Amino acid sequence: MPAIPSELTSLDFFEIKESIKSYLRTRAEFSDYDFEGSSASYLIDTLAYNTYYTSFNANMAMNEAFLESATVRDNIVRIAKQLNYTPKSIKAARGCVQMVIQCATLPGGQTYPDTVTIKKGDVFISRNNTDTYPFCLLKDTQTSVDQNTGLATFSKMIVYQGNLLSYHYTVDDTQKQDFVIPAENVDTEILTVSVKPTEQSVEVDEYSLSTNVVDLTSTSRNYFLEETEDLRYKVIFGDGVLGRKLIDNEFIILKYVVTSGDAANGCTKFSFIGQATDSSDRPISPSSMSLGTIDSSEDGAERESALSVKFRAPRSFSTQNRAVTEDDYAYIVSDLYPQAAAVTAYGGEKLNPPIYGKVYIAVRSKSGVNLNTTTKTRIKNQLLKYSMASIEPVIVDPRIFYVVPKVYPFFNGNETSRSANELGTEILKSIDKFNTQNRDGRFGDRIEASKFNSMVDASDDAISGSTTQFTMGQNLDQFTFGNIFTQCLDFGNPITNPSDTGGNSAGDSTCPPKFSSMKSGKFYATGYTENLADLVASGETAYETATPADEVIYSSGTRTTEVLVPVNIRDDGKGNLLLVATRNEKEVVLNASIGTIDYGQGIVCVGPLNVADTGDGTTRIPVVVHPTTDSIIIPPGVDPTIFNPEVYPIDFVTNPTTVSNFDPNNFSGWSYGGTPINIIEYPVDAFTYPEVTTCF
Amino acid sequence: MPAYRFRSEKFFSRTFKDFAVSFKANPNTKDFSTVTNDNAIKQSVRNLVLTNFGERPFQNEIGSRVTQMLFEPFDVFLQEDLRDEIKNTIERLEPRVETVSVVVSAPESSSITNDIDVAVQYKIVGQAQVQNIEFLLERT
Repeated sequence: MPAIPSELTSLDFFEIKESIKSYLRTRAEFSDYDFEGSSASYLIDTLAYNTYYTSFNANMAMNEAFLESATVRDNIVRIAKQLNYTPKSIKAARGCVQMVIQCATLPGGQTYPDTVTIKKGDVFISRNNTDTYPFCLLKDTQTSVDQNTGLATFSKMIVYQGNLLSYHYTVDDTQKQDFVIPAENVDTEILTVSVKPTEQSVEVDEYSLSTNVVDLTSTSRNYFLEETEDLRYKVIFGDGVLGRKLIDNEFIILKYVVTSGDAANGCTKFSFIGQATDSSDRPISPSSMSLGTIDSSEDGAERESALSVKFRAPRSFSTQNRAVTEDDYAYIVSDLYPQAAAVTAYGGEKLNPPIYGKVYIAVRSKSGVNLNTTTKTRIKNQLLKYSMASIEPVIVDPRIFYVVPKVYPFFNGNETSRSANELGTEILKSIDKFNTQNRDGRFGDRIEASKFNSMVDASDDAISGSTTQFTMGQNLDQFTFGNIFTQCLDFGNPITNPSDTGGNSAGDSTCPPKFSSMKSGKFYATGYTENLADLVASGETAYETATPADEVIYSSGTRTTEVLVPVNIRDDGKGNLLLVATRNEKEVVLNASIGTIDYGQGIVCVGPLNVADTGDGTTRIPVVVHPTTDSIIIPPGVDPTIFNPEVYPIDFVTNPTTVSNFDPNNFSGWSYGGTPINIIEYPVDAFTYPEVTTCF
Repeated sequence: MPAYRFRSEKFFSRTFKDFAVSFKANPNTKDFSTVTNDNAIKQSVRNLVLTNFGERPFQNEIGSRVTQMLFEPFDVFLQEDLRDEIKNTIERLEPRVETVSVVVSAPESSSITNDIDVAVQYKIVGQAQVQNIEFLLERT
């Protein structure tokens, strides 16, 4: 049987050509195909060329049919559509401005107009380092006028970068219609879709975006969004079962913003180019307006790339609106409760002791306040729709780790015009930004000193490097004044054991621990009075047997003459907690077993203790510990935040010094005479979650 | 580009047989006509000279510059260039022949007909006889 050309699927021209020649070799009719000048060779070229292009075309076409191998964006998007995945659109940068308008009195000169209105549209412009951009107001904004001063204040006006445009369609039942937004760079998050019964009608129904058909009815006013060809988005309405079906002749209005995306981030100073009118329809002159920027433009982003769609679409599909894994729970809760700043979920089996059959979801709200019980129940009930039977979701408040960095940046004073103080301020700004920007996804993460330091180093070109000493803090807050309590704080990270660095656990006189790793803020403990402290200081009474003196109520003008002494708690370097006070610049140990500390596990247990009062009058006592390593592990359900960072810039040209990254003896306070253990300064302020003052 | 196996190098005594480039039907068999031996080689030489670089798919090195050169003013320099080009092309791409001489000349009527005479004399490898091929080059 004669051979037949075998390389029909090859994607190499010469292989195909050779295959045809091999076939001809088995035939006697022609012999010249080997010579490039022969007519047979010309004919073989044509045949091979044809085969080559057919197989190439087939190969490309098949590649485009699968998500994994598709390369053309339109095709990728089309496949992702089958997975119910809509690629993220370009995102408009947004800024926040405040505007104060001085209104003129109404004719007659007695009273001011009631309100001032700024019309929606492209009413602001601003520029960043690269270009000038228009910013728009999405809705008409109105504010009332102060009748005493005539001032109208628009506080926190959010403006979006781009041009506010609108497009309309009239529903026509006789033809197949696609409601496409006729522009490329549209931010779909701020798209508004409204429908009127007819073009002339004044009645308008606003439709909202639906990503899930679970709760849709035949009257739900929802629309779906899909990306179609050429980076356009298509609005799709319900079919009468899943969402309301549009009726012939209804009038659809699409209002959208065409934006420049991330190019417009960083615009700081805004100018008003629109028109403001008062309630008497009088235009207000620009000279009576003053404009301030609260937040410069940020959050602008490019549209999702084809590569990202390929990655995310199948993963998004795998969630399928079911809560199965921990990430599913976190994702769905952040969807159900958009006010959440951060959400983390973890299975009960990760707890110690393990609790099976429960999933814990820690939610921290954007305001920093813990969720109330009603909200928790509401989230839980909504979550039950998604979760597997027999698994009970439990919404909990996150534990908060306060991480206190002490930063020593080294800089070359000859390379910057900034003073050390200015540099310090700049670094503090960077740290604040680091703290707010990394708010998402910090649960279950780590805080690495190296990453933190590189952020510090990037604050100014003159900084050559930096050393950061981290301490961690939590509040003792499970107590009420006047009642005995016990509370354990879990820091989730090993704490430096003073016996490991210079002391021994026996703590004998030859090698006692040199410092404390745990310190509390100042407070007043019931029974520990100045008299008692003086007695202990003079060595006359053993503190173990000291009976708490007369009942004392501090700082409220009470009947007693006894005064409580301010006390602190610290560890003795051997696993015990001491209650200490200072008398005549000497430390006095009032109680040598007020609690315990487990250095390896990072657990501090205080109590039994009766707190009478605290320095700031709140039921919080700050406790700080010194972690063993520079990498701080964030356990599940813990929300870390940076608290009260301190920055000490060092100009290494004039001060060629170095700073150790672990130095418990680096005091800014004073040493206590006669005490074998030196005391690092006690924390002063109770920890509070930093409030984020932003418009968004 | 894979190496070609020139079977002709092994079997010189074998006859050469190729399609006739005209693709005219043989009046007897009604099949397309063929050319053999020295005629096949003649046709091959002609094909090569009249092929431009880039005409053959994926094989940019096959062909000659002759067609392009026809657009230059005809003088002794071009005549020389044409001769070299044709000679090189044949030596480069047709292993079955050894070129003896190439003569490029303009016929008397060339000022009217705009054509150039090419006469190539070559020996088929393994044969003593000198073959002759003449053709007209015309701008198309």
